Amino acid sequence: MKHKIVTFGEIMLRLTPPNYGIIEDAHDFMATYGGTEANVAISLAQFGHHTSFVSKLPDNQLGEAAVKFLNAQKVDTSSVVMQGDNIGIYFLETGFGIRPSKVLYNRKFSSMTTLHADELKLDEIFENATWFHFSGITLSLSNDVRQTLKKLLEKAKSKGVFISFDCNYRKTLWTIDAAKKAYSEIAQYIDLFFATPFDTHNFFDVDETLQGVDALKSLLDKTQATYVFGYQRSVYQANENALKAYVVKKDQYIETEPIRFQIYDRIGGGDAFAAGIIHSLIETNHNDLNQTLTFGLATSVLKHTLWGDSFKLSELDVLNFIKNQNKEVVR
Amino acid sequence: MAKIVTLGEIMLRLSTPGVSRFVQAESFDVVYGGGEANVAVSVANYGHDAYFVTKLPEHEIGQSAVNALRRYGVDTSFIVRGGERVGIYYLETGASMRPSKVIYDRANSSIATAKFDEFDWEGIFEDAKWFHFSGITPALSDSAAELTKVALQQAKKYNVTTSVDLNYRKKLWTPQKAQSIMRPLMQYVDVCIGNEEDAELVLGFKPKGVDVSSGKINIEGYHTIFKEMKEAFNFKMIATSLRESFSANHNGWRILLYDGKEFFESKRYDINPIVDRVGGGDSFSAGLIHGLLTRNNQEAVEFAAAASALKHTIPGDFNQVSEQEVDTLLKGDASGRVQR
Repeated sequence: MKHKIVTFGEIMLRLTPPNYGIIEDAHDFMATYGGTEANVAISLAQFGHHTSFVSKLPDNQLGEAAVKFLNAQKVDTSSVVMQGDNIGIYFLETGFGIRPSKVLYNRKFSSMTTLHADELKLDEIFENATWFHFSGITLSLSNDVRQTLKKLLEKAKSKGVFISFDCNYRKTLWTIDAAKKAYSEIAQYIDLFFATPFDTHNFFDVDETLQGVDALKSLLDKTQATYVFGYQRSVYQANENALKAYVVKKDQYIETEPIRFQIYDRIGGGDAFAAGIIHSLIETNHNDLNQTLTFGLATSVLKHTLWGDSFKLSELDVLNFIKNQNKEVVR
Repeated sequence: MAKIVTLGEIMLRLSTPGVSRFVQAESFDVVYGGGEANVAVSVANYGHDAYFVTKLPEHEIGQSAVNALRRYGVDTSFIVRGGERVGIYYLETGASMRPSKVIYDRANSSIATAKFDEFDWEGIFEDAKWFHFSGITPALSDSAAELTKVALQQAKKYNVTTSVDLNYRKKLWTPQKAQSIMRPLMQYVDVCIGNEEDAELVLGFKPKGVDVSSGKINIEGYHTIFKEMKEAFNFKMIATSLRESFSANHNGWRILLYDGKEFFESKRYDINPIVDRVGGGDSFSAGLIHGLLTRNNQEAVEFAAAASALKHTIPGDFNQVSEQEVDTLLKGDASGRVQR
């Protein structure tokens, strides 16, 4: 069954030097558009859901170009406000072998940072919606955005919409203390966290003596949430990593075997994981966490083989990949 | 050759490939440029010791801007590093009846937030012969306006000749604001570059009984305006380019200079087709500075006109021509034949 899913955040112009080049040598940048919640919306649209992206973009041709990009990926852009001057930018140097990728943001004064709730039609946004997703990056953008998000969360809650939150902390955007304050203010609304034990210590006051699964369980105890999903990354080289996924629900803990793989473009790997988990929870009606974990991990691994921010393959591609992997879930 | 200092902002320019529109772009061509930086590169190409003064972030985009200047021989040792943002401008190149479009993203850039006491003025102006800036720099912010004023005062302290390109930018400030900042700066300026429109918007200067805005260029009208401007602001020299715009790709171009006594008018160039007109005015300022430093006044306007006509044929902000190439055009060879 397909659902209406709403995501909220910023979509930026992504500028990448070609051929694994560095910014200082670039005579041109490959241009695409991305941002964590936009990436999740795009992936969920590929899985057949009606996904609506809520955001604000400048009222100029660059804002228009970002909207056209989302339209092309089947994302509903009717709730994107067109106003203001600047589009956020991020420059990405793609790593190779032992040289890591680098991200440089230019987003501090973007249109999105000035979004007010009264620019949005809150009732229309959540009409028939069953799911709302956002990340810690959105919380970092500005006070205006945090206030707007609060309004969205209240409306979503009042309509019984399921709410997921990806902790996604970016140290170049704000401090741990500032993030902790913002995260604690929205924690009560969340049904599903994408989080690591590290996140629980930093942002949710989970005692540091609690490690691994115990830390994740403590986050569930402290909030109303049903799930904590996440994955662990092992880095062999910039373009060779392994991922394994886990979930905690009440007293249940499941983790997968790691999958080791080559990377073509790692940006958006976490967003693809979130999209895979959301899709599979909806498809299985929350009744098969093994399948959900396997599907989320496979979606993320496949994303690493695609250029650009977002996962653009179909559900069938993911299922075929899982079949060929032949990895059993470990309990 | 002389030490020439310019002060301003250098930006990352992102232009769509060819003449594509923004919404079509799958990539952007990358160059770095900005009014005073373009002047610095151009005079470096004529063999001067060009110094560009600005502030740029420490990060990779800031470094790339520094590298672009260094590549063409501009001395970057007085560039202060810090702050967060490089100014950006997006360019969609027009064709025929479709005009070019520019989108700026330059508010809160490093130079817009720089303070005057971050710069080594003694090092900057010691032994310098010329200082150039444009109306864009003080338009960036109040602190940039203060920075410009201090730079001019320091230049005068070291007996440096100063020039301004009035260059009004309506996206950066209002005429009212421009006049309140720019008029008090004019006491430090020796050479003023700008047309009557800039003079009106930036200096609040209204010529008495002369109208040069009718489309046809009225040289006599300019003579009157320049005489009145000289009287009002006590400039040593005033110069302007006279552009006739037939289409986005076809302009007429010549230069007029007034030295307080006499008028000097260059040959007229018919520029068709234009390859890239961004930086055309800057190449004129650079050509004039070089001309005035090395030649008599008539030769100076001829050099400035030929140099800036050539700029219109070169993609990017910078005028990549040598003194010898300009002189070849000056000697009358405008055929465009291959030179072997």
